[in-house]
Amino acid sequence: MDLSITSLAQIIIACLMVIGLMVANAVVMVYFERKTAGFIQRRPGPYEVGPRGTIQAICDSMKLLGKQLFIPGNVDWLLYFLAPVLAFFPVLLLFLPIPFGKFLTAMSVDEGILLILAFSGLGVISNILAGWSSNNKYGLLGAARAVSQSIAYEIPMIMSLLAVIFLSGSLNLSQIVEEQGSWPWQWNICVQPLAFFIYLVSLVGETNRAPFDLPEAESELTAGFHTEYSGMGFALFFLSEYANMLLVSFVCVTFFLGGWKGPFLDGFWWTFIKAYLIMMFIVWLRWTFPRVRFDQLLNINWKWLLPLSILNLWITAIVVKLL
Amino acid sequence: MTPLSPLTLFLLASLLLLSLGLAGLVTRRTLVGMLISVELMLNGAGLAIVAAAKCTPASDIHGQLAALFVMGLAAAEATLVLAMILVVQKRFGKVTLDDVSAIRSSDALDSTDLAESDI
Amino acid sequence: MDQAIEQILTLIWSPLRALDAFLAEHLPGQETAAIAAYAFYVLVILAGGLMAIGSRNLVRAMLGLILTFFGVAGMYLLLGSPFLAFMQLLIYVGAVCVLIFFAVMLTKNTNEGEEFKLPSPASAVYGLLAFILPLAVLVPLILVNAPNLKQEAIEPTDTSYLGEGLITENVVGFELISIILLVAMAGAVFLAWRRQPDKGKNQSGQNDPAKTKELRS
Repeated sequence: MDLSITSLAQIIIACLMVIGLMVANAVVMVYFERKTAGFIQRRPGPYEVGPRGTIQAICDSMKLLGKQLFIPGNVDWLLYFLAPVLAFFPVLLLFLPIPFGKFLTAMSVDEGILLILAFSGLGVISNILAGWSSNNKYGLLGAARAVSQSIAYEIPMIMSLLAVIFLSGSLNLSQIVEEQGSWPWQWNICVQPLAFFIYLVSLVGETNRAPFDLPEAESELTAGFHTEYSGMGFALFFLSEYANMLLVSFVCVTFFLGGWKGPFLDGFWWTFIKAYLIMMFIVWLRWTFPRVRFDQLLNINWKWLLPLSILNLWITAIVVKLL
Repeated sequence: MTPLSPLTLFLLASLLLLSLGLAGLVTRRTLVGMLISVELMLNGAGLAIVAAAKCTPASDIHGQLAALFVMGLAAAEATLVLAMILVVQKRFGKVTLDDVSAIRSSDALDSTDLAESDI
Repeated sequence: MDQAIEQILTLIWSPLRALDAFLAEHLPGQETAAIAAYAFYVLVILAGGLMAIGSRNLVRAMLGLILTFFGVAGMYLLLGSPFLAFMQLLIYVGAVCVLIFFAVMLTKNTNEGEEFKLPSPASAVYGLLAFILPLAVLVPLILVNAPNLKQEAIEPTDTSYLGEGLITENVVGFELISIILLVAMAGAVFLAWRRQPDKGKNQSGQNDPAKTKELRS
């Protein structure tokens, strides 16, 4: 751990930039998602506020920030206030090891992917605290479902990333990008297509996005674990959900799609282009598929994704050992 | 008294964890509370192992692997203890230590006898 | 393009790097930074431990436990084992705490439970005794007998050595812990299994089509 002033300053500046990125991402993604939902459902989406509805997201966020913060009675105040904070702030740390460019890594940790996985566990804890402290039956049920879904989908995610780590020989994210080439047929997706598919499915399950979004289904659970949150608390949960989506897209791009390397000009723009392509794919999935029932959701994970990922890992290990 | 070396400092920290865990184990009345105290003690043990490995001429790889095994064992033990807590909850109706002790009064054992279908 | 970015970044960070070099020459900074970090982590462990053993609400006790886990992970980082620090967070905070939460939820530990009563004086005295006795016995022993090993700095371990050790020398331990985890999982499922009463079979234990049809509808 490098405790010099340079590295501390780098980390602080990176955290500030990540906050800016998260807010900008949320604004863009909210507008994009509502427009896409509209077009898929053959309606125009938001078009009143601003030219073609572009200021809609900003108006929504101003409304959220101005809402009256009322706390239901009988809640445990420490846990109630801690839950959105724990949902939002660790995500800042998760963006630090990601290589945005060749020299644009905030903190090149030798065990980068372990840092990301370790602090993702804090998001699970924030779900628990939100559901428990709300003193609400639906909130608790939603929290239990969200938590069991998150910890279930972590396992195939870790194993598919492990297959790529076997090939690259390092846990350092910059090293993994270095091992891939510039052209699309040199990226890891061509060497590990099954792992990419497993990672894509478990990505959707991990971030509680449709079609696996039963924990926050409005018609079933009245918003699940964040039922009792309004205004700033809800805004923090909302921001952290979109930031989580962005983070797993960045990790997917780093591991499978060549990171900052691209066909013509290597650079940080390729990371953003590829990550936003994956985000568009996730949004497309949300408005195409119906919601999956909870036992079907867990069945997909334990009966299909987990054996497939173990098989993939086994074949990768044999091939790596023989070659 | 030797001057404070890093090894001493880390061993004192792990001892603090051990004492806190032991105090919790004695004071707590619920089974889950006792489990939390046991996890504190296991953490202290792992810290002591790694400190002894890294600060002495002993092999630091073996120390870290031993601490990793301790972590895995703690997770396995927590799983089984929690499953047992669920069984106790089903059988006795509550998980506080004063009520669960079947050795104290023999009618607790008779009235909730294990039926065939329980196993 | 990369070279341009690299040169720009080097230019931006050069004053801070000069400051670092200046401080490294004129102050013995490394040790005090390490001692400050150690003190911070001990405070975190103490706060978390006190909350874990003293809090009457069990979910707050779990929160104290999480704080303690972070403190111990920080200690592992100071000891130069980053792999172990991250695995500590992954295993304990990510898995064991979730297990404890489910146990708290399923045993219905609401706010009016048994834990809410203040500890009786006898139990408080026993707790204090349990806290002081190990310290009183072992701290003098450590302070008198611990070897004064003054090495320069604790080097971080490369993770590849850990991996090699797991596969070559300690492979038996590695396999055994996998088996232990498998047995623990199977045992937990078996213990918590709620056997449905046999609804599909009639008196003599053979399949009864009428009852099975009732079950399916």
